[in-house]
Amino acid sequence: MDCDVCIIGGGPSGLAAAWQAGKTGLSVIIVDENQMLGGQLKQQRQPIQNLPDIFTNQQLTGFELAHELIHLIEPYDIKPLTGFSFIGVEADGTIGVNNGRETRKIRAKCIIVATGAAEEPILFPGWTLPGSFSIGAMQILINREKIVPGRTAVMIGSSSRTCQVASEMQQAGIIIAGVIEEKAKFDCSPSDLQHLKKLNIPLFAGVSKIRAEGEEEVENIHFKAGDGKEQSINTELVCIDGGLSPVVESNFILGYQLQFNSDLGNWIPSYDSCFHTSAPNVFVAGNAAGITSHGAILITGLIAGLSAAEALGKYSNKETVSKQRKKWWNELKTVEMAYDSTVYQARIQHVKQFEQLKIKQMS
Amino acid sequence: MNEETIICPCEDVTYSDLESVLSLGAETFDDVKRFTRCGMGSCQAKACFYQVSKLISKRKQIPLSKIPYTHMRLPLRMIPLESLLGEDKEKPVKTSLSEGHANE
Amino acid sequence: MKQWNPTSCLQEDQEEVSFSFEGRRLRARKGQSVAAALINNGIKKIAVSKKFGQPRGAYCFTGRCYSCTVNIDGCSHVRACMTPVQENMEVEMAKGYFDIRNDDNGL
Repeated sequence: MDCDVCIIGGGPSGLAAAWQAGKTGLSVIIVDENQMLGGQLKQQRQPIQNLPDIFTNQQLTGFELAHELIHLIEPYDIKPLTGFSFIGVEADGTIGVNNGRETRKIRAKCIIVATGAAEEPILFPGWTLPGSFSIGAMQILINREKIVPGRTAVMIGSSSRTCQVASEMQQAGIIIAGVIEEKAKFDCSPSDLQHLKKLNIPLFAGVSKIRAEGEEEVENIHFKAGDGKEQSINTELVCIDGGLSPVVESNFILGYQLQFNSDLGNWIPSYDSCFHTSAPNVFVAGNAAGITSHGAILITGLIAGLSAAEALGKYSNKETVSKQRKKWWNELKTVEMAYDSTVYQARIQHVKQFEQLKIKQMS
Repeated sequence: MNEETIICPCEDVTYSDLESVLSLGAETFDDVKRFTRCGMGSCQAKACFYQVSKLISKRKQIPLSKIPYTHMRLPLRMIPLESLLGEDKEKPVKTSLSEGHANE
Repeated sequence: MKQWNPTSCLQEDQEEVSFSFEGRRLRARKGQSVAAALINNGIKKIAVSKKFGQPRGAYCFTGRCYSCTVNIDGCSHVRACMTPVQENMEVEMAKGYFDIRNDDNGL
Protein backbone atom coordinates (compact mmCIF):
# COMPACT_ATOMS: atom_id res chain seq x y z
CA MET A 1 0.00 0.00 0.00
CA ASP A 2 1.32 3.43 -0.85
CA CYS A 3 0.42 6.66 0.85
CA ASP A 4 1.75 10.12 1.49
CA VAL A 5 1.46 10.01 5.27
CA CYS A 6 1.38 6.97 7.54
CA ILE A 7 0.20 7.74 11.05
CA ILE A 8 1.03 5.23 13.77
CA GLY A 9 -1.76 5.48 16.32
CA GLY A 10 -5.39 6.45 15.75
CA GLY A 11 -6.02 8.26 19.00
CA PRO A 12 -6.78 11.98 19.36
CA SER A 13 -3.40 13.24 18.13
CA GLY A 14 -3.26 10.78 15.23
CA LEU A 15 -6.77 11.68 14.13
CA ALA A 16 -6.10 15.43 14.41
CA ALA A 17 -2.91 15.01 12.37
CA ALA A 18 -4.73 12.86 9.80
CA TRP A 19 -7.42 15.50 9.41
CA GLN A 20 -4.92 18.31 8.92
CA ALA A 21 -2.86 16.33 6.41
CA GLY A 22 -5.86 14.80 4.65
CA LYS A 23 -7.52 18.18 4.17
CA THR A 24 -4.72 19.20 1.81
CA GLY A 25 -5.43 16.23 -0.44
CA LEU A 26 -2.70 13.97 0.84
CA SER A 27 -3.39 10.24 1.10
CA VAL A 28 -3.20 9.07 4.70
CA ILE A 29 -3.17 5.65 6.34
CA ILE A 30 -3.80 5.45 10.08
CA VAL A 31 -2.54 2.26 11.73
CA ASP A 32 -4.09 1.35 15.06
CA GLU A 33 -3.87 -1.88 17.03
CA ASN A 34 -7.36 -1.58 18.45
CA GLN A 35 -10.54 -2.64 16.73
CA MET A 36 -11.72 0.96 16.49
CA LEU A 37 -10.17 4.42 16.22
CA GLY A 38 -10.26 6.91 19.06
CA GLY A 39 -7.44 5.80 21.34
CA GLN A 40 -7.93 6.73 24.98
CA LEU A 41 -11.09 8.67 24.13
CA LYS A 42 -13.07 5.47 23.55
CA GLN A 43 -13.27 4.84 27.25
CA GLN A 44 -13.55 8.37 28.57
CA ARG A 45 -16.91 9.84 29.42
CA GLN A 46 -15.86 12.87 31.37
CA PRO A 47 -16.18 16.25 29.62
CA ILE A 48 -12.90 17.18 27.95
CA GLN A 49 -11.63 20.55 29.09
CA ASN A 50 -9.95 23.25 27.03
CA LEU A 51 -10.55 21.94 23.55
CA PRO A 52 -8.90 23.85 20.70
CA ASP A 53 -10.94 26.52 18.95
CA ILE A 54 -11.59 24.35 15.88
CA PHE A 55 -14.12 22.37 17.89
CA THR A 56 -17.14 24.64 17.79
CA ASN A 57 -19.04 22.46 20.23
CA GLN A 58 -16.76 22.93 23.19
CA GLN A 59 -18.57 20.62 25.57
CA LEU A 60 -17.60 17.14 24.48
CA THR A 61 -17.03 13.96 26.45
CA GLY A 62 -14.24 11.61 25.43
CA PHE A 63 -16.69 9.41 23.52
CA GLU A 64 -18.17 12.38 21.70
CA LEU A 65 -14.77 13.79 20.81
CA ALA A 66 -13.74 10.41 19.35
CA HIS A 67 -16.89 10.37 17.27
CA GLU A 68 -16.32 13.95 16.18
CA LEU A 69 -12.76 13.24 15.05
CA ILE A 70 -13.77 10.08 13.20
CA HIS A 71 -16.48 12.09 11.47
CA LEU A 72 -14.04 14.87 10.58
CA ILE A 73 -11.72 12.56 8.65
CA GLU A 74 -14.45 10.88 6.62
CA PRO A 75 -14.49 13.12 3.52
CA TYR A 76 -10.77 12.75 2.86
CA ASP A 77 -8.41 10.09 1.54
CA ILE A 78 -7.75 8.80 5.03
CA LYS A 79 -7.76 5.05 5.38
CA PRO A 80 -7.89 3.49 8.86
CA LEU A 81 -6.14 0.15 9.28
CA THR A 82 -7.49 -1.07 12.60
CA GLY A 83 -6.42 -4.20 14.38
CA PHE A 84 -2.94 -3.79 12.93
CA SER A 85 0.27 -3.18 14.90
CA PHE A 86 3.33 -1.42 13.55
CA ILE A 87 6.07 -4.03 13.84
CA GLY A 88 9.07 -2.73 11.96
CA VAL A 89 10.55 -1.31 8.77
CA GLU A 90 12.52 -2.73 5.88
CA ALA A 91 15.90 -1.37 4.89
CA ASP A 92 14.31 1.04 2.40
CA GLY A 93 11.92 2.39 5.02
CA THR A 94 8.85 0.39 3.98
CA ILE A 95 6.62 0.01 7.02
CA GLY A 96 5.43 -3.43 8.14
CA VAL A 97 2.14 -3.81 10.02
CA ASN A 98 0.75 -7.06 11.35
CA ASN A 99 -2.59 -8.21 12.75
CA GLY A 100 -1.54 -11.63 13.95
CA ARG A 101 -2.64 -13.26 10.70
CA GLU A 102 -0.95 -11.29 7.94
CA THR A 103 1.68 -8.65 7.39
CA ARG A 104 1.07 -5.68 5.11
CA LYS A 105 3.64 -3.30 3.72
CA ILE A 106 3.10 0.43 3.61
CA ARG A 107 5.30 2.80 1.64
CA ALA A 108 4.88 6.31 3.02
CA LYS A 109 6.62 9.59 2.34
CA CYS A 110 6.08 10.82 5.89
CA ILE A 111 5.44 9.06 9.19
CA ILE A 112 3.73 10.58 12.20
CA VAL A 113 4.34 8.75 15.47
CA ALA A 114 1.15 9.25 17.48
CA THR A 115 1.47 6.29 19.79
CA GLY A 116 0.25 7.99 22.94
CA ALA A 117 1.10 6.97 26.46
CA ALA A 118 1.21 3.79 28.54
CA GLU A 119 0.41 3.28 32.20
CA GLU A 120 3.13 2.57 34.71
CA PRO A 121 2.45 0.06 37.48
CA ILE A 122 3.36 0.47 41.14
CA LEU A 123 5.34 -2.53 42.32
CA PHE A 124 4.43 -4.26 45.56
CA PRO A 125 4.03 -7.89 46.60
CA GLY A 126 0.98 -9.31 44.86
CA TRP A 127 0.64 -6.59 42.23
CA THR A 128 0.56 -9.25 39.50
CA LEU A 129 -2.39 -11.18 40.96
CA PRO A 130 -5.48 -11.52 38.78
CA GLY A 131 -7.85 -8.74 39.83
CA SER A 132 -5.06 -6.18 39.81
CA PHE A 133 -5.53 -3.73 36.93
CA SER A 134 -4.15 -0.43 35.76
CA ILE A 135 -6.44 2.58 36.09
CA GLY A 136 -6.73 2.74 32.32
CA ALA A 137 -7.75 -0.91 32.20
CA MET A 138 -10.49 -0.27 34.75
CA GLN A 139 -11.78 2.63 32.70
CA ILE A 140 -11.81 0.37 29.64
CA LEU A 141 -13.70 -2.33 31.51
CA ILE A 142 -16.37 0.02 32.84
CA ASN A 143 -16.85 2.31 29.85
CA ARG A 144 -15.83 0.38 26.77
CA GLU A 145 -16.27 -3.30 27.58
CA LYS A 146 -19.20 -2.36 29.80
CA ILE A 147 -18.70 -4.97 32.48
CA VAL A 148 -18.50 -4.78 36.24
CA PRO A 149 -15.34 -6.74 37.08
CA GLY A 150 -15.91 -7.06 40.83
CA ARG A 151 -17.85 -5.85 43.84
CA THR A 152 -15.14 -3.96 45.70
CA ALA A 153 -12.00 -2.13 44.69
CA VAL A 154 -9.07 -0.34 46.24
CA MET A 155 -7.36 2.41 44.25
CA ILE A 156 -3.62 2.84 44.58
CA GLY A 157 -2.61 6.34 43.62
CA SER A 158 -4.53 9.60 43.90
CA SER A 159 -4.25 11.56 40.67
CA SER A 160 -7.31 13.33 39.29
CA ARG A 161 -7.57 10.47 36.79
CA THR A 162 -7.84 8.03 39.68
CA CYS A 163 -10.52 10.14 41.31
CA GLN A 164 -12.45 10.31 38.03
CA VAL A 165 -12.26 6.56 37.48
CA ALA A 166 -13.13 5.81 41.13
CA SER A 167 -16.23 7.93 40.75
CA GLU A 168 -17.21 6.12 37.54
CA MET A 169 -16.63 2.76 39.21
CA GLN A 170 -18.82 3.79 42.10
CA GLN A 171 -21.54 4.78 39.63
CA ALA A 172 -21.25 1.34 38.06
CA GLY A 173 -21.99 -0.18 41.45
CA ILE A 174 -18.49 -1.05 42.61
CA ILE A 175 -17.74 -0.23 46.24
CA ILE A 176 -14.53 1.76 46.47
CA ALA A 177 -13.16 0.48 49.75
CA GLY A 178 -10.22 2.85 49.80
CA VAL A 179 -7.92 5.19 47.93
CA ILE A 180 -4.36 4.64 49.13
CA GLU A 181 -1.47 6.93 48.35
CA GLU A 182 2.18 6.33 49.17
CA LYS A 183 3.10 10.00 49.04
CA ALA A 184 2.47 12.14 52.11
CA LYS A 185 -0.16 14.20 50.25
CA PHE A 186 -2.82 13.24 47.74
CA ASP A 187 -2.08 14.16 44.10
CA CYS A 188 -5.56 15.29 43.15
CA SER A 189 -7.14 18.70 43.64
CA PRO A 190 -8.90 19.62 46.91
CA SER A 191 -12.23 19.54 45.09
CA ASP A 192 -11.55 16.00 43.83
CA LEU A 193 -10.73 15.01 47.40
CA GLN A 194 -13.94 16.57 48.67
CA HIS A 195 -15.86 14.61 46.06
CA LEU A 196 -14.30 11.35 47.22
CA LYS A 197 -15.13 12.19 50.83
CA LYS A 198 -18.73 12.88 49.83
CA LEU A 199 -18.85 9.42 48.29
CA ASN A 200 -17.71 8.05 51.67
CA ILE A 201 -14.55 6.61 50.22
CA PRO A 202 -11.88 5.97 52.89
CA LEU A 203 -8.69 7.86 52.07
CA PHE A 204 -5.18 6.96 53.20
CA ALA A 205 -2.05 9.00 52.52
CA GLY A 206 1.53 8.41 53.57
CA VAL A 207 1.01 4.69 53.15
CA SER A 208 3.79 2.09 53.05
CA LYS A 209 4.33 -1.65 52.94
CA ILE A 210 1.49 -2.28 50.53
CA ARG A 211 0.85 -5.92 49.72
CA ALA A 212 -1.99 -7.69 47.96
CA GLU A 213 -2.85 -11.25 48.82
CA GLY A 214 -5.05 -14.03 47.52
CA GLU A 215 -4.98 -17.64 46.39
CA GLU A 216 -5.74 -17.33 42.71
CA GLU A 217 -7.00 -13.73 42.67
CA VAL A 218 -6.81 -10.61 44.78
CA GLU A 219 -8.70 -11.15 48.05
CA ASN A 220 -7.36 -8.43 50.29
CA ILE A 221 -4.81 -5.69 50.52
CA HIS A 222 -2.67 -4.79 53.53
CA PHE A 223 -0.67 -1.66 54.20
CA LYS A 224 0.77 0.55 56.89
CA ALA A 225 -1.24 3.76 57.14
CA GLY A 226 0.29 7.19 57.62
CA ASP A 227 -0.27 6.98 61.40
CA GLY A 228 1.69 3.72 61.60
CA LYS A 229 -1.38 1.49 62.02
CA GLU A 230 -1.58 -1.71 60.01
CA GLN A 231 -4.65 -1.75 57.79
CA SER A 232 -6.36 -4.53 55.87
CA ILE A 233 -9.10 -4.18 53.32
CA ASN A 234 -10.99 -7.05 51.76
CA THR A 235 -11.19 -6.40 48.05
CA GLU A 236 -11.59 -8.18 44.73
CA LEU A 237 -10.00 -5.47 42.65
CA VAL A 238 -6.87 -3.39 42.95
CA CYS A 239 -6.50 -0.44 40.56
CA ILE A 240 -3.01 0.88 40.13
CA ASP A 241 -2.15 4.38 38.97
CA GLY A 242 1.60 4.74 38.54
CA GLY A 243 1.34 7.60 36.05
CA LEU A 244 1.81 7.72 32.28
CA SER A 245 4.88 7.26 30.09
CA PRO A 246 5.14 8.28 26.43
CA VAL A 247 5.20 5.28 24.08
CA VAL A 248 8.44 5.61 22.11
CA GLU A 249 9.20 1.97 21.40
CA SER A 250 9.57 2.70 17.67
CA ASN A 251 12.60 4.94 18.20
CA PHE A 252 15.34 2.49 17.32
CA ILE A 253 13.44 1.11 14.34
CA LEU A 254 12.46 4.50 12.89
CA GLY A 255 15.79 6.04 13.81
CA TYR A 256 14.66 9.03 15.87
CA GLN A 257 16.71 10.26 18.77
CA LEU A 258 15.27 10.37 22.28
CA GLN A 259 15.87 13.14 24.78
CA PHE A 260 15.23 12.76 28.51
CA ASN A 261 12.83 15.24 30.05
CA SER A 262 11.34 14.38 33.43
CA ASP A 263 8.55 16.96 33.14
CA LEU A 264 7.30 15.48 29.87
CA GLY A 265 7.37 11.81 30.86
CA ASN A 266 11.09 10.98 30.70
CA TRP A 267 12.26 9.61 27.31
CA ILE A 268 10.57 11.39 24.42
CA PRO A 269 11.63 12.01 20.83
CA SER A 270 13.66 15.15 20.17
CA TYR A 271 11.58 17.45 17.98
CA ASP A 272 11.55 20.97 16.62
CA SER A 273 8.68 23.45 16.42
CA CYS A 274 7.26 21.47 13.48
CA PHE A 275 7.18 18.37 15.67
CA HIS A 276 9.73 16.91 13.27
CA THR A 277 12.01 14.39 14.96
CA SER A 278 15.68 13.78 14.22
CA ALA A 279 14.72 11.15 11.64
CA PRO A 280 13.96 12.55 8.19
CA ASN A 281 10.23 12.87 7.52
CA VAL A 282 9.31 11.35 10.88
CA PHE A 283 7.05 13.54 13.00
CA VAL A 284 5.66 12.99 16.48
CA ALA A 285 2.42 14.15 18.11
CA GLY A 286 0.29 13.71 21.21
CA ASN A 287 1.32 12.09 24.47
CA ALA A 288 4.27 10.45 22.70
CA ALA A 289 5.71 13.96 22.46
CA GLY A 290 5.17 14.61 26.16
CA ILE A 291 2.38 13.77 28.61
CA THR A 292 -0.18 16.52 28.48
CA SER A 293 -3.88 17.39 28.42
CA HIS A 294 -6.39 16.45 25.74
CA GLY A 295 -6.54 19.91 24.23
CA ALA A 296 -2.77 20.04 23.91
CA ILE A 297 -2.69 16.51 22.48
CA LEU A 298 -5.04 17.62 19.71
CA ILE A 299 -3.07 20.78 18.91
CA THR A 300 0.23 18.89 18.65
CA GLY A 301 -1.52 16.60 16.17
CA LEU A 302 -2.70 19.57 14.12
CA ILE A 303 0.81 21.05 14.04
CA ALA A 304 2.37 17.71 13.04
CA GLY A 305 -0.22 17.17 10.30
CA LEU A 306 0.30 20.68 8.99
CA SER A 307 4.08 20.27 9.05
CA ALA A 308 3.93 16.92 7.24
CA ALA A 309 1.75 18.48 4.53
CA GLU A 310 4.23 21.36 4.29
CA ALA A 311 7.15 18.95 3.98
CA LEU A 312 5.33 17.25 1.11
CA GLY A 313 4.94 20.52 -0.73
CA LYS A 314 1.23 21.04 -0.17
CA TYR A 315 1.55 24.72 0.68
CA SER A 316 2.92 27.17 -1.87
CA ASN A 317 2.81 30.04 0.58
CA LYS A 318 5.37 29.51 3.32
CA GLU A 319 4.11 32.49 5.25
CA THR A 320 0.59 31.12 5.56
CA VAL A 321 1.93 27.89 7.03
CA SER A 322 4.23 29.65 9.49
CA LYS A 323 1.40 31.88 10.58
CA GLN A 324 -0.93 28.94 11.17
CA ARG A 325 1.73 27.01 13.02
CA LYS A 326 2.49 30.03 15.21
CA LYS A 327 -1.22 30.48 15.90
CA TRP A 328 -1.46 26.87 17.07
CA TRP A 329 1.64 27.18 19.22
CA ASN A 330 -0.01 30.15 20.91
CA GLU A 331 -3.12 28.12 21.45
CA LEU A 332 -0.97 25.26 22.76
CA LYS A 333 0.59 27.67 25.20
CA THR A 334 -2.79 28.83 26.51
CA VAL A 335 -4.17 25.33 26.80
CA GLU A 336 -1.07 23.77 28.31
CA MET A 337 -0.36 26.58 30.78
CA ALA A 338 -3.90 26.11 32.06
CA TYR A 339 -3.23 22.39 32.50
CA ASP A 340 0.31 22.51 33.94
CA SER A 341 2.71 25.36 33.28
CA THR A 342 5.70 23.09 34.02
CA VAL A 343 4.78 20.91 31.05
CA TYR A 344 4.63 23.85 28.66
CA GLN A 345 7.91 25.32 29.90
CA ALA A 346 9.56 21.92 29.58
CA ARG A 347 8.24 21.55 26.04
CA ILE A 348 9.62 24.92 24.98
CA GLN A 349 12.99 23.97 26.46
CA HIS A 350 12.88 20.61 24.72
CA VAL A 351 12.21 22.17 21.31
CA LYS A 352 14.78 24.91 21.82
CA GLN A 353 17.43 22.39 22.82
CA PHE A 354 16.88 20.35 19.67
CA GLU A 355 16.72 23.38 17.38
CA GLN A 356 19.97 24.71 18.80
CA LEU A 357 21.58 21.29 18.36
CA LYS A 358 20.51 21.23 14.72
CA ILE A 359 21.96 24.70 14.14
CA LYS A 360 25.24 23.58 15.71
CA GLN A 361 25.33 20.47 13.56
CA MET A 362 24.78 22.45 10.38
CA SER A 363 27.58 24.94 11.08
CA MET B 1 8.55 -3.84 47.87
CA ASN B 2 10.12 -6.97 49.27
CA GLU B 3 12.48 -9.65 48.02
CA GLU B 4 9.72 -11.58 46.26
CA THR B 5 8.10 -8.63 44.49
CA ILE B 6 7.95 -9.37 40.80
CA ILE B 7 9.72 -6.66 38.79
CA CYS B 8 9.41 -8.42 35.43
CA PRO B 9 6.13 -10.34 35.20
CA CYS B 10 6.97 -11.96 31.85
CA GLU B 11 10.11 -13.66 33.12
CA ASP B 12 9.32 -13.87 36.86
CA VAL B 13 12.33 -11.75 37.82
CA THR B 14 12.13 -10.66 41.45
CA TYR B 15 13.44 -7.67 43.37
CA SER B 16 15.94 -9.96 45.06
CA ASP B 17 17.27 -10.98 41.60
CA LEU B 18 17.70 -7.29 40.84
CA GLU B 19 19.58 -6.65 44.08
CA SER B 20 21.93 -9.56 43.33
CA VAL B 21 22.89 -8.30 39.90
CA LEU B 22 23.22 -4.71 41.07
CA SER B 23 25.76 -5.90 43.62
CA LEU B 24 27.58 -7.68 40.78
CA GLY B 25 27.96 -4.32 39.03
CA ALA B 26 24.89 -3.95 36.85
CA GLU B 27 24.17 -0.25 36.29
CA THR B 28 21.79 0.00 33.38
CA PHE B 29 18.56 -1.64 32.32
CA ASP B 30 20.48 -3.49 29.62
CA ASP B 31 22.93 -4.86 32.22
CA VAL B 32 20.05 -6.17 34.30
CA LYS B 33 18.44 -7.60 31.17
CA ARG B 34 21.53 -9.57 30.24
CA PHE B 35 21.94 -11.02 33.72
CA THR B 36 18.32 -11.85 34.50
CA ARG B 37 16.33 -12.00 31.24
CA CYS B 38 14.31 -9.07 32.53
CA GLY B 39 12.90 -7.45 29.43
CA MET B 40 13.47 -10.47 27.22
CA GLY B 41 10.03 -11.97 27.70
CA SER B 42 6.76 -11.63 25.84
CA CYS B 43 6.33 -7.92 26.34
CA GLN B 44 9.96 -7.15 25.44
CA ALA B 45 10.52 -4.63 28.26
CA LYS B 46 7.39 -2.58 27.59
CA ALA B 47 5.96 -3.17 31.07
CA CYS B 48 9.14 -3.27 33.15
CA PHE B 49 11.59 -0.78 31.61
CA TYR B 50 10.79 2.28 33.70
CA GLN B 51 10.04 0.36 36.90
CA VAL B 52 13.39 -1.41 36.80
CA SER B 53 15.25 1.70 35.69
CA LYS B 54 13.77 3.67 38.60
CA LEU B 55 14.88 0.95 41.02
CA ILE B 56 18.41 0.98 39.57
CA SER B 57 18.44 4.77 39.79
CA LYS B 58 17.42 4.68 43.44
CA ARG B 59 19.75 1.88 44.55
CA LYS B 60 22.79 3.05 42.67
CA GLN B 61 22.19 6.80 42.93
CA ILE B 62 22.35 7.10 39.14
CA PRO B 63 20.11 9.75 37.53
CA LEU B 64 17.30 8.16 35.55
CA SER B 65 18.48 10.16 32.53
CA LYS B 66 21.76 8.22 32.62
CA ILE B 67 20.04 4.87 32.23
CA PRO B 68 19.68 4.56 28.46
CA TYR B 69 16.41 3.54 26.87
CA THR B 70 16.69 -0.05 25.76
CA HIS B 71 16.77 -1.04 22.07
CA MET B 72 13.40 -2.28 20.92
CA ARG B 73 13.72 -4.29 17.77
CA LEU B 74 11.51 -5.75 15.06
CA PRO B 75 8.94 -7.13 15.63
CA LEU B 76 7.51 -4.67 18.14
CA ARG B 77 4.78 -7.14 18.98
CA MET B 78 4.87 -10.89 19.32
CA ILE B 79 3.59 -12.31 16.02
CA PRO B 80 3.19 -15.81 14.60
CA LEU B 81 5.94 -16.68 12.12
CA GLU B 82 3.27 -17.76 9.66
CA SER B 83 1.91 -14.21 9.53
CA LEU B 84 5.19 -13.07 7.98
CA LEU B 85 4.87 -15.47 5.06
CA GLY B 86 3.92 -14.12 1.68
CA GLU B 87 1.07 -15.49 -0.40
CA ASP B 88 3.02 -18.23 -2.12
CA LYS B 89 3.83 -20.70 0.61
CA GLU B 90 5.75 -23.10 -1.63
CA LYS B 91 8.97 -21.16 -2.01
CA PRO B 92 11.30 -21.41 0.96
CA VAL B 93 12.44 -18.33 2.89
CA LYS B 94 9.92 -15.91 1.50
CA THR B 95 8.39 -13.28 3.70
CA SER B 96 6.26 -10.31 2.88
CA LEU B 97 9.02 -8.22 4.38
CA SER B 98 11.68 -9.34 1.87
CA GLU B 99 12.43 -7.35 -1.21
CA GLY B 100 13.21 -10.18 -3.61
CA HIS B 101 13.18 -13.95 -3.53
CA ALA B 102 16.24 -15.93 -2.52
CA ASN B 103 16.23 -18.05 -5.67
CA GLU B 104 15.51 -15.33 -8.24
CA MET C 1 -25.47 16.57 27.75
CA LYS C 2 -25.67 13.48 25.61
CA GLN C 3 -23.21 10.83 26.58
CA TRP C 4 -23.12 8.14 24.00
CA ASN C 5 -20.28 5.89 23.16
CA PRO C 6 -20.05 5.11 19.46
CA THR C 7 -17.70 2.24 20.11
CA SER C 8 -19.50 0.37 22.82
CA CYS C 9 -23.15 1.06 22.13
CA LEU C 10 -22.66 -1.51 19.40
CA GLN C 11 -21.97 -4.01 22.13
CA GLU C 12 -25.22 -3.42 23.91
CA ASP C 13 -27.25 -4.18 20.80
CA GLN C 14 -24.87 -6.87 19.71
CA GLU C 15 -25.83 -10.48 19.77
CA GLU C 16 -24.71 -13.01 22.32
CA VAL C 17 -21.97 -15.43 21.41
CA SER C 18 -21.00 -18.71 22.95
CA PHE C 19 -17.39 -19.68 23.44
CA SER C 20 -15.44 -22.08 25.62
CA PHE C 21 -12.70 -21.65 28.20
CA GLU C 22 -10.88 -24.79 29.30
CA GLY C 23 -13.76 -26.80 27.91
CA ARG C 24 -16.43 -24.80 29.77
CA ARG C 25 -19.15 -23.27 27.64
CA LEU C 26 -19.54 -19.54 28.39
CA ARG C 27 -21.64 -16.64 27.10
CA ALA C 28 -20.39 -13.28 25.92
CA ARG C 29 -21.50 -10.28 23.90
CA LYS C 30 -20.10 -9.98 20.40
CA GLY C 31 -17.57 -7.14 20.37
CA GLN C 32 -16.19 -7.80 23.84
CA SER C 33 -12.58 -8.80 24.19
CA VAL C 34 -11.95 -12.38 25.28
CA ALA C 35 -10.42 -11.07 28.52
CA ALA C 36 -13.47 -8.96 29.37
CA ALA C 37 -15.81 -11.81 28.44
CA LEU C 38 -13.93 -14.11 30.81
CA ILE C 39 -13.93 -11.56 33.64
CA ASN C 40 -17.66 -11.10 33.11
CA ASN C 41 -18.00 -14.83 33.65
CA GLY C 42 -16.09 -14.55 36.91
CA ILE C 43 -12.83 -15.80 35.47
CA LYS C 44 -9.82 -13.62 36.20
CA LYS C 45 -6.95 -16.14 36.39
CA ILE C 46 -6.24 -17.03 32.78
CA ALA C 47 -2.50 -17.68 32.78
CA VAL C 48 0.37 -18.75 34.96
CA SER C 49 3.77 -17.14 35.17
CA LYS C 50 6.67 -18.64 33.31
CA LYS C 51 9.01 -19.64 36.13
CA PHE C 52 7.02 -19.79 39.35
CA GLY C 53 3.62 -20.74 37.95
CA GLN C 54 1.95 -17.82 39.76
CA PRO C 55 -1.59 -16.89 38.78
CA ARG C 56 -1.83 -14.18 36.14
CA GLY C 57 -4.60 -12.36 34.35
CA ALA C 58 -5.23 -9.27 32.29
CA TYR C 59 -3.61 -6.12 33.68
CA CYS C 60 -3.21 -3.29 31.18
CA PHE C 61 -5.95 -4.03 28.64
CA THR C 62 -3.95 -2.22 25.95
CA GLY C 63 -2.00 -5.14 24.55
CA ARG C 64 1.37 -4.13 25.91
CA CYS C 65 1.95 -6.14 29.09
CA TYR C 66 1.24 -9.65 27.75
CA SER C 67 -0.09 -10.83 31.14
CA CYS C 68 -3.31 -12.05 29.53
CA THR C 69 -1.95 -14.42 26.90
CA VAL C 70 -4.00 -17.51 26.23
CA ASN C 71 -4.27 -20.18 23.56
CA ILE C 72 -7.13 -19.49 21.15
CA ASP C 73 -8.18 -22.06 18.54
CA GLY C 74 -4.77 -23.63 18.70
CA CYS C 75 -2.73 -20.40 18.48
CA SER C 76 -0.51 -19.63 21.43
CA HIS C 77 0.46 -16.27 22.99
CA VAL C 78 -2.76 -14.58 21.94
CA ARG C 79 -3.54 -11.44 23.95
CA ALA C 80 -7.02 -11.98 25.37
CA CYS C 81 -7.50 -8.25 25.92
CA MET C 82 -6.97 -7.39 22.25
CA THR C 83 -8.93 -10.25 20.69
CA PRO C 84 -12.66 -9.85 20.06
CA VAL C 85 -14.60 -12.89 21.23
CA GLN C 86 -16.24 -14.92 18.46
CA GLU C 87 -18.80 -17.69 18.25
CA ASN C 88 -17.33 -21.09 19.13
CA MET C 89 -13.89 -19.76 19.98
CA GLU C 90 -11.93 -22.28 22.02
CA VAL C 91 -9.85 -20.55 24.64
CA GLU C 92 -7.40 -22.36 26.85
CA MET C 93 -4.76 -21.45 29.35
CA ALA C 94 -1.19 -21.77 28.16
CA LYS C 95 0.47 -24.71 29.81
CA GLY C 96 3.94 -26.01 30.15
CA TYR C 97 6.50 -23.23 29.96
CA PHE C 98 7.54 -23.77 33.49
CA ASP C 99 7.98 -27.44 32.85
CA ILE C 100 10.98 -26.48 30.76
CA ARG C 101 12.50 -23.72 32.79
CA ASN C 102 13.42 -25.24 36.10
CA ASP C 103 16.58 -26.35 37.87
CA ASP C 104 16.05 -30.03 37.06
CA ASN C 105 16.63 -29.19 33.44
CA GLY C 106 19.67 -27.14 34.24
CA LEU C 107 18.05 -23.82 33.38
